[in-house]
Amino acid sequence: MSFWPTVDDERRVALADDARSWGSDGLTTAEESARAREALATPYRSLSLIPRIAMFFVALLFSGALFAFFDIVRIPFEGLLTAAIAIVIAEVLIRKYRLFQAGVEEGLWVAALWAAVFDLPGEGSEKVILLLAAATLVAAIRTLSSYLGVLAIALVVIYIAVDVSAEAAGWTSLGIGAFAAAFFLRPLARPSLDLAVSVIAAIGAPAGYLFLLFRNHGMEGRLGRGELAVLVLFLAWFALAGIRPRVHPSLFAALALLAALLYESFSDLQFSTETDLILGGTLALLGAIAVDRALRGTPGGVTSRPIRRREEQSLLESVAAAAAAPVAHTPGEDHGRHGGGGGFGGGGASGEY
Amino acid sequence: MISFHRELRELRESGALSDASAERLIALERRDVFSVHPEIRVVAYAGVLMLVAGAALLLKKYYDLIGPGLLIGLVGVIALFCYVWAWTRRGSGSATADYILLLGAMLLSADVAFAETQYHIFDDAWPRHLLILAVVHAIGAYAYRSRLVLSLSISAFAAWLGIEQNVDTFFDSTPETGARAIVCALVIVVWRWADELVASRSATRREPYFEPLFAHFAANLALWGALLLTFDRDTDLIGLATLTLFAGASLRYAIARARELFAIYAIAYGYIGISAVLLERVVDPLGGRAAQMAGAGWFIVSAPVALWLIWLAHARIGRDA
Repeated sequence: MSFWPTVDDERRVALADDARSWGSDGLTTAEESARAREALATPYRSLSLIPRIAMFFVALLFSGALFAFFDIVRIPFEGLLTAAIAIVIAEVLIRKYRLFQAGVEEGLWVAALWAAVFDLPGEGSEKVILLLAAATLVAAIRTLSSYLGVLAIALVVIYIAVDVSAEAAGWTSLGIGAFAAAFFLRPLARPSLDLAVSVIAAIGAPAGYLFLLFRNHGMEGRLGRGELAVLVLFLAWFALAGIRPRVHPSLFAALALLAALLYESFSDLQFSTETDLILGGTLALLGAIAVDRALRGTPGGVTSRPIRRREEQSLLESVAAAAAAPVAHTPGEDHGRHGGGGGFGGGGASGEY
Repeated sequence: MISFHRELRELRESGALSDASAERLIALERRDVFSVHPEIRVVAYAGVLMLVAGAALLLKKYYDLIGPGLLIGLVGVIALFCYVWAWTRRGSGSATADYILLLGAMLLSADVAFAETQYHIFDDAWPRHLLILAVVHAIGAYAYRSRLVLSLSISAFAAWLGIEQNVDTFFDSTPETGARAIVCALVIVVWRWADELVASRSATRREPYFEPLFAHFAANLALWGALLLTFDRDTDLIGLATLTLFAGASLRYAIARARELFAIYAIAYGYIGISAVLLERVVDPLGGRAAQMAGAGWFIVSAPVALWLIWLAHARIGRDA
């Protein structure tokens, strides 16, 4: 068998995973969805996102416990020993049981290489972040894991922030995001690469701006005119890389940069925080309403109508709404009406007045 | 950019997909049809959160200057406008109406809470305003068929019972909070049954639209409440028994409804609970290096079991999902 699944197998695995929700999303009948998954079957076994995440973290827990155990019983080279055991188990799972993007083999591989890095001699230095990034990238390539690939790049950006400057990290992050967006202008064969560039394109720009914003250890890192001009160029690039091929990640990056530029404009006007929030919120809502109205009647092409129902997404959003409600003080605690106001609530009924 | 239209054509040719379904999926792959619905939702959601945060700051900063009565009236009028606006767009397929409604509901919550702090309407029984909000939001959720507003109702109800929705609560909570969470979960289960009963008996036999939301809240509150009991030495065994019971129920629900996430809830909460009790009662008393070795050993042995259980759940449920 080959070292990795073939491109064809990987595409079938990804499409079969997507087909799981075709029925519930209203794109096909449930029977068609089941038939398609059967027709797309490969020898590989993969998991959907949530169980994959659970498997990943339990695999990390296992490897961490192994490392700790060897350390406690004072076995020399505990990191290398952990790495050897974890890699052997991961390879057995990959080669014998054909696990692919199942979380466990990704967790074992990355934990193994991290354990080996921690075993290296030398005093702690920022360079260890680069070593961890390299280890994560190797694990990502071996397991064709998009998320580990993104983590590797995030570690490189963090290293730059720690060892060089937050400003350098900010521009690097924006540059990497823009580079990833370029991949949308050409066809890609491997779904793992597509997912990796999607995540990097979507988060590179907002993360980059946040680094620039916090470069002076506060929200005072306002951008100069030259920097703003560069940000506008990035915005134009992301918009182009989103609108032309019609992909979401670049559009989200463009929206984030638009919000950043608006924030910079508001900062120039020196309004109070609440005015900034109310103005920004009103603009966002009005913009959303205007685009929604303009595109709602469009039956084809670009439309604001939902194409897929995305049940789980709607539920997640509802839970997030409850979580976003301001923190409540409970009857069991300080019942307190603090002078001049309360400090309680639930379902938005709070506000720490 | 990736496109699966080649595979989709093959599925059509093999008969796995009908012509109509294949055409629909191929049109999506080619981006002949492209929906900006996700972008609109994210922007609208961000707008709502910013407006609510801005309104809260405004209330805090200016109530001395403007006077509480006027501020309460002003925020109330804006909330009312949101409700009316959303009402006129019910069933229009608008991507933003639900968020305007959410804004109205959150402003209403903030307004009621502010009124309570200023006028002490319920005096020592101040949490009662949360119960009122829970009822009002529940009515709103059914009138508008909005899961977002229903989640506010459940959140207000949980707050009335004394359950806060922040991370600190998880680490600082007492068994009493755990018991409150379990009570809250049980009320939600009863509510869900009533909702399903009404749905099945209504003339239109409407779809139980809120059922998944009830299920997620009930499962998490019940399992979290039982887990909190396992963290206290006095209640850990009863907590473990309760946790086992709830985890079993969650697993059963996962299998019955082919919802894999509920199996993951059962395994994750169960694993944390068993580990907490074992470490507290068996491992810690060993003391010193023996305790450290036993602790690490427990995770070396138990983690593969947890992995196997997740795999089994996927094999049983994931394929049916």
